[in-house]
Amino acid sequence: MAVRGLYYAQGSSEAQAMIMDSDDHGTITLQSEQGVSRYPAGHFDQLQISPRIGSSARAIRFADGGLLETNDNDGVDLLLRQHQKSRNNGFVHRLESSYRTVFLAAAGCLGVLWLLLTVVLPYSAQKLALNLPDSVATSVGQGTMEVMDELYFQHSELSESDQQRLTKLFDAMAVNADADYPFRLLFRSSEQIGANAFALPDGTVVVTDDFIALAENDQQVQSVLAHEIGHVIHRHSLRRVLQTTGLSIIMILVTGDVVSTANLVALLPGILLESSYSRSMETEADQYALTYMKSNGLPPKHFADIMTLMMTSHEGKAGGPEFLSSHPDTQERIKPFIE
Amino acid sequence: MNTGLMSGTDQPVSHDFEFSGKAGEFFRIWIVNVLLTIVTLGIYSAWAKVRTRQYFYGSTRVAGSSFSYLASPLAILQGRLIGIALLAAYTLISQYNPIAGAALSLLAIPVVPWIVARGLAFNARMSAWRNVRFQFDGSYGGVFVHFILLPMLIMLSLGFALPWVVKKQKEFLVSHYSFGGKRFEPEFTTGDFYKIYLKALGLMIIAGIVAGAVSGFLPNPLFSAPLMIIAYLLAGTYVMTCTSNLIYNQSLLASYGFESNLKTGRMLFLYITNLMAVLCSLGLATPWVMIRMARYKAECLTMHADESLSQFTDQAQREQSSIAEEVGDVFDVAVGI
Repeated sequence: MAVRGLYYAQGSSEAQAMIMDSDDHGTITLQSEQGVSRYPAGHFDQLQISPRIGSSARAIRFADGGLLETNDNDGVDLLLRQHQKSRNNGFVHRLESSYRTVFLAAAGCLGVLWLLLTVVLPYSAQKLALNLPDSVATSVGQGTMEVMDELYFQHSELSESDQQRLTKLFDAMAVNADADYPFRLLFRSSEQIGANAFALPDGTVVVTDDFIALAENDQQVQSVLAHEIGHVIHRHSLRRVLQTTGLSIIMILVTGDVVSTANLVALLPGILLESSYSRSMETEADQYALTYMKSNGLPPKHFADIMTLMMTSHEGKAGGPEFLSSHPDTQERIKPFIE
Repeated sequence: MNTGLMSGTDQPVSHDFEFSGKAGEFFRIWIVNVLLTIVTLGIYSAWAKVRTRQYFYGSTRVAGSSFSYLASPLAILQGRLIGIALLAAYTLISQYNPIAGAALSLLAIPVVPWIVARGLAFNARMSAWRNVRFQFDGSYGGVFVHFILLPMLIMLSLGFALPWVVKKQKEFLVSHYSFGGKRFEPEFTTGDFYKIYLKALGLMIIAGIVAGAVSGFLPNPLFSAPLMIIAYLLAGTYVMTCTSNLIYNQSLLASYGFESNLKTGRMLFLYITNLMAVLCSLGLATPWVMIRMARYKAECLTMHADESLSQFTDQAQREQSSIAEEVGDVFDVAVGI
């Protein structure tokens, strides 16, 4: 079987049109196109033949460092079949050649990606977060609080008696929550953040002065505290860290070839997914608050009221469609609390 | 195909670059790459990368010969694993403690030039044409000066030094590449770069004035904002296209010259349609996008040389690992010409 190509001697850029030939024993000879002389070029087993990749040029390397470059891919494959009896060569190329495989691969890839992002990643992040030792949660919480204090917070201007009364309410709720967290309630004021409450993984719950001022009664404050305790118990902030990390790793693996061509495109699904993860956690914390309120004789209506107040107070600041938002739509959220 | 290979005359000849990759064919290669990467939990990605590069190199030819990519997938896998581990550690740490994360990225600054220098050297060494490898011999210090120190001048000079810094960077890169014992020689001047950036600036200013005038009639930012975005994209594409042309047109390899005539309008059209296609197809158009970009770039490139192109000889080169390059890949610090 003869293969035509361009031959380059070791380390030389001079091209010579050559024909490579082999006999039944695998002895290789090279002959120039002009056909004058024929010289031996070793045995087939000494050749290094690059894999077939579409119709791109193929390289055959000889033991002496010479190189034959050819576009006769079929010729090279025939040669391989002749001399390498049982070797499984060209497996990937066969996959690439079958349209059925390619179609199934495309469908499979999209399916796996979808499964990975919507089921596997959230589930494993949840399992991992719940199984991390408490010491991790504690150190993460303390670290975050220090940074937040540095960047955003001032001391609370709430009166001592208000603080004591709310702390007492919170402590009672924390005991009820029946978890091993050193729950504590902190009061802070912050212009940037406005009326808000949030939870850290070590059981610290922070409320802002604006939030306390916004609430019309203690039950409303309690309902939000219940929601925050829900975040702590489900270890949402740890889950979020794990999911973000997992997401960025998956994105890099999946888009490895793409990122350079379309940075923006690679970013977009990440943003959408992160906000969807975040919304599902909010819903989970709402669930916790609802259960808590029902079993402790707090009318769920209070949560609906304070959510509506918060929405009005944040109006104009936040906007955008729901699929981009980190929190579910307020009207949707408060439905179960009104019924 | 047979370009008078034996004639050996010294008449200057134009050798056009050709790209013969086909979108349909590459789609099949690409999707199998993705599938095998998923099935093997990412391990195959190193093989996928080599296969992709080999396809693009092997489909690009000049003077009858194609390029080849020689890296071994195992070496790339090794580097990739280290890169991923570092990135995961960094992401976790900076999420837990932003201050520690910031400190870490400061610590990484002196390491980056090493990664870049080794990465460029690895990539060059793994690229060959006519059985002769490319080489990059830029040092750690050179990369540190050109890609860490000089960029600081940009801010200090309020942007005025930008064209000069870019010129120094490109000059550094080009002059440290060699092929078959012959160095690439940059001949572009600082003035060339200032011309490009000034024109782009002029474009932005005109767009700003027009946007200002438009918003006088139509105060809604819906009208002036897209105008500015388009102007920004146009200016960015203009700078990239002209820089790329300039570098090819004003660089020599052993008295051989190159000619590149990419057009800004065509490039912008390609970028925008590529972006749309990838978005609308959930990424499935990626192979098509990569092929048409490579085809256009090759179409616009010509080498002026003699007929035989036989004066290059390979130099024995030290084998190095690809760890640095792949670490660089993951952190996206790639610098190209």
